[in-house]
Amino acid sequence: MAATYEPIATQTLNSAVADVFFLTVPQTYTDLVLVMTGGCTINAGVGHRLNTINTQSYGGTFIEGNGTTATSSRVTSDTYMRVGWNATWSTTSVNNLISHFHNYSNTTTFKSVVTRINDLTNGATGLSVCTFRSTAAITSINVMTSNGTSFLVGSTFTLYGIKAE
Amino acid sequence: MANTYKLIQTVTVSTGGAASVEFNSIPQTYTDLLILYSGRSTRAASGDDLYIRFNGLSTNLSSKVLYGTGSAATSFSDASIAYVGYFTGDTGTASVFSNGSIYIPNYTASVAKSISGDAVNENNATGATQLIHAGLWNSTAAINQINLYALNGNWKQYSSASLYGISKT
Repeated sequence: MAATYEPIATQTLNSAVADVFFLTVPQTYTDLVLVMTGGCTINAGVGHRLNTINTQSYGGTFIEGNGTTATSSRVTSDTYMRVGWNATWSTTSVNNLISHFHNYSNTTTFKSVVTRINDLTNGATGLSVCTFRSTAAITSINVMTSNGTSFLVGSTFTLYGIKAE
Repeated sequence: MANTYKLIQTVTVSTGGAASVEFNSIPQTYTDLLILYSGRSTRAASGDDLYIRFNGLSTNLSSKVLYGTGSAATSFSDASIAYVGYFTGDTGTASVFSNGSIYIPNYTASVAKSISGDAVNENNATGATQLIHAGLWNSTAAINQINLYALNGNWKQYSSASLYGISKT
């Protein structure tokens, strides 16, 4: 049986931290799925920094609905991948983000990440499609907040591997 | 081997349709739940909304929805219904069934439950819609039962839904 949708690593926060790391991501899968639930101590966007690269290597396009209007926006260059734009994780509800990293281990193409964003209380439901302008294989993922605030205690982060065989 | 992405239960709607698709006695041994469905509503319209309830309860539910019709994008919210999907209605093109996915992380945790839903009712004609949903069940109870309802009709015969368990261990 194919080894697919395998848990690679999981973290449940026992203390509030602003950065969650998945280091030494195995290169044996085809795609990755990162499931995040929880909130932040102060409203914040959520982003990824890949391979510890903090140069202007990330872009993204977003669409979201806040319950009243639908909006779309775009970031061409940033120092991290803003997977959740205006949709924020809040202190008053449990939210979730689900990021899909496609063909993450290839060394030929830039990497794309599709993220579903769900925040009922303060934000919106939305979708982001982001690019990491690097041909390097993704070997580490840093989940971070947009303003340096911390993720709440009890927030969970689980990385799964998907294999195309 | 990891006990993940395991099929827990499949429901196929039989002759006469069904008021809801129900998954009960859900095992508490996974981390997240995923529902994949192919459905059509008996509503006499081009489409119908799909909403979710947990543990037989109709309280503490809410949602926000973003949808596009091919010409416009719109958003709405509801303070008492957790919309998580969308169906082709019974005036839609014959034999067309919509499909969608519903992801429920941390369904056994003693925290409010956040739900992610994606759906499309491609109709092979006008009136097709693409939707994404954020749902919330503001309850700390573990989820042991799920019911999926059409807002203005019933599930039509040949609809089906499967519940999968995803585990982080």
